[in-house]
Amino acid sequence: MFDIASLAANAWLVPLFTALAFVTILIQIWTGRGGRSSAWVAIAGVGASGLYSVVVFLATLGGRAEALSHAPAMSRRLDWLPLGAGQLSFGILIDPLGAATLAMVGIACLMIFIYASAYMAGEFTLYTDPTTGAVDAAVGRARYARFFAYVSLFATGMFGFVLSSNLVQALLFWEIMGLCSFLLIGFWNFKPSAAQAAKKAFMTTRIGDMGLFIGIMMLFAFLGTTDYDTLMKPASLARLQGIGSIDGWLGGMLGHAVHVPLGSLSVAALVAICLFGGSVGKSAQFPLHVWLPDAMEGPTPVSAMIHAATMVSAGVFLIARLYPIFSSATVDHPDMISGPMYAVAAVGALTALLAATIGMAQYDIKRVLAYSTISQLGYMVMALGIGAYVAAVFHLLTHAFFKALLFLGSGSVIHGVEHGMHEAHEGHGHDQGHAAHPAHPSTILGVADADPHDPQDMRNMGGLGKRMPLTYATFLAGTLALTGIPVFSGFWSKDEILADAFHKMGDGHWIAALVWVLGTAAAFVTAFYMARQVFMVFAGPPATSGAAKAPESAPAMVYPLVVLSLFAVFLGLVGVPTAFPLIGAWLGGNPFHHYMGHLLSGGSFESHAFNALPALASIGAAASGWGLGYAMYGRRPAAARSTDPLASVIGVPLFRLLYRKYYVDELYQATVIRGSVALSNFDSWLDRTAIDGAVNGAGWIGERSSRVNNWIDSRVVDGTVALVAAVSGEMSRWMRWLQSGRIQQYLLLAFFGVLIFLAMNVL
Amino acid sequence: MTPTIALWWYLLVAAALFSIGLFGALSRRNAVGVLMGIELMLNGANVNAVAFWRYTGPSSGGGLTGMDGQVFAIMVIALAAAEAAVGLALIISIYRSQQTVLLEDFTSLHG
Repeated sequence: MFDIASLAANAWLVPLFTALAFVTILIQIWTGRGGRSSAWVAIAGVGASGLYSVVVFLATLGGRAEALSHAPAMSRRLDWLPLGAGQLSFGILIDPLGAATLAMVGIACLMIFIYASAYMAGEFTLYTDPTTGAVDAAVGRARYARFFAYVSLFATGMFGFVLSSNLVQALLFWEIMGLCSFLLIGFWNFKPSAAQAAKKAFMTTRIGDMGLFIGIMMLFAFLGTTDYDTLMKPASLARLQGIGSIDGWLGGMLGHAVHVPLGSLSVAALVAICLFGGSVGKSAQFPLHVWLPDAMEGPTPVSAMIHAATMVSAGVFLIARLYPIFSSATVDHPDMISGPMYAVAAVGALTALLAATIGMAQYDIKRVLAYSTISQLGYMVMALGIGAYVAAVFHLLTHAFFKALLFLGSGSVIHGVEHGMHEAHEGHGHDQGHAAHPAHPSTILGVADADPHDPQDMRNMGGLGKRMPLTYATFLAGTLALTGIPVFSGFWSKDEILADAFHKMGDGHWIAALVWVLGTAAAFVTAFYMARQVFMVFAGPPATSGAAKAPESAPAMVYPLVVLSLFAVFLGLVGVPTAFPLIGAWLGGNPFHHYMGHLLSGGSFESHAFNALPALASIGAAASGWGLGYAMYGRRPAAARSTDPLASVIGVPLFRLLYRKYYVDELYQATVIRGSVALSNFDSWLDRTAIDGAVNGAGWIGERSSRVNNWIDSRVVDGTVALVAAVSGEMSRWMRWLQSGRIQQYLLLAFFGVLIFLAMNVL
Repeated sequence: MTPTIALWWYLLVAAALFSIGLFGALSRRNAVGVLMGIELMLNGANVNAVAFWRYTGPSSGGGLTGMDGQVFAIMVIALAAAEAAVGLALIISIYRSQQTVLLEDFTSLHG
């Protein structure tokens, strides 16, 4: 009998397939066989993983998740490291949250891998021999294969993270993802900007990871385990709460009363905030958001997979996974807002709006999407912060699909424009006349002009809707989903967050009011900048000959877009509120909520009565965003590309502020980076003068005393030895004459000797 | 029965023999001559041994008993024979390699 539940119990196979693909490709590279086949290996690996993850997901449907997570097969543990009273082990945990995320990651990764197999084909001819200038095909093939090795390892990390049964195991996979992110952002490491961005991403997320690590250690210290199952037991959470305030805890350890800043917070809140630090880094929340836009230096499939759909969602996933710890003050009512959640909600809401406003003033097609990603992650984080757990996870899933779609679509656009520019450059001779689009004279002080050879600058695009119809259609679907236009998936998830916030606002939570206001404002801004992007890229006449000649991308790139766009359009329908007019009841009464609305700690979320006001508000925000976008960019797109109308509306200084991303990078440059460079310089100086001085001084003293030793050794000791040798030599030379070798002489001496003895006897 | 000749005559002969032998052993250049000198010295000692045995032994009422004086003499004669054999063998061997029997040529043991 085909038993889907026992198949699901072997979910550890999911990361194994991609890990095998990773190893296979490594062997291919080492034996010089990497190339096209590596892409097939990676696709096969992630295909198997994706299929299995869907199986696991199906096994949890129909209310079987609870039974499945308590199946004996699920509690198998691979003991790894005995540690004090506890034991670190590897295991798998499957609950609705994990299973749904697993399926999302599997499907999205498969689509992205297929897309990447075509997108990365440029690698084959990218590398030239520095001496001859000929294309170095071997390097190209190896680099192409290396890309797929990295992404396979990345997929392994994400699958493993989602399936982990304890925090240490999760941290392990979390760091694998961090490593792959570093490697893939810096994949084109011959570009200084890419190498810089990789470094930035790695170091910025490291700050957050430090918090996560401290949080894990505190949990282990307080509760003796990092196992999710045990951690989330109401008894464990009660023990965590029982530790009391930070002041009391420190005072108990030190033996006298202490008062530290924020010492009245509970230790449980401190743990939660430390853990949240990891999410802030990984999910690029304010103030650690700066790495994500720079991460767009990586190849576009990487942007889609790691920096939109999966890895950055891992931070949100972590909060969702550890949600009971965040709400541990109110275990029985998980949707109440308690201590640390205020911080989560505030950070998320702030990020959602700030990132969205920055997105309004960016020209790089991928950077707009990057800020949009930060903003949407902010949505999820703030939703978790106000206890809208189900809505946050719902948005996590829908966002992963439509943002992957948008990124892949932008990659397709970039690819097309690049080809077009290449072609225009080839036929430069007869094209001279109208190819010479002059660089747009920038009327905005402090904002760089478009580089006419930059295939990512939206000011170099336009008119691509006709050139790339399939890309356009799918991109539009993704955009409509992102901006929250009804029926598309993003509407349902975003609306659920805002509805939840509105509901809690009615309960009198000021933080929910903040979330609702900022969230609705961000929805408006999102619609505006996405409309700006769509009109700049796809509408109007082409701005450059590159855009004019851009071809539609290869089928392997376009069909994944089509598949993802189906998810972007229809996925939201699983989470339509029951009371939604016309279709709510017909769609099964919000099956997603029933599926997702249970926690490991045993609490569950009730769905609120449908309220038309927040829904209308968010529709209104989206529609007015689109309307404003159309008014400013859609009617005269060519003019808008040369002079940004937004600058004339909000004023140049404000536009420049947005364009320069609120000067956060500059602020970090001036404070953190300059500070650490100065500190390093001081350390270096200290090292060279004090430390090196001490070492050199010790060396000098040693050398001097060695000279004294040497003198004593060569004069006194050697002299004594030489004297002994000389004395015995002289004596020997003197005694030699006795040893004449003449027997008769010896005999005579012996005779005289006898005579002497006799004489002595006689006398 | 007391011998008619006094002991000191024997001792004189023995001393003469020993001295002649010593002179020969010290002065002869030929190794064979040296050997012969050594034989004379040994025989001088033999005469002493037998004479003392005869004059101070049991037959003379002294403390010694049995034949020890004569046994000493015979032992020395046997030893002298062995010595002569070894010495001659050495000399022949040296002669074969060095073509000489003159002792002043045998100085390879000099220091």
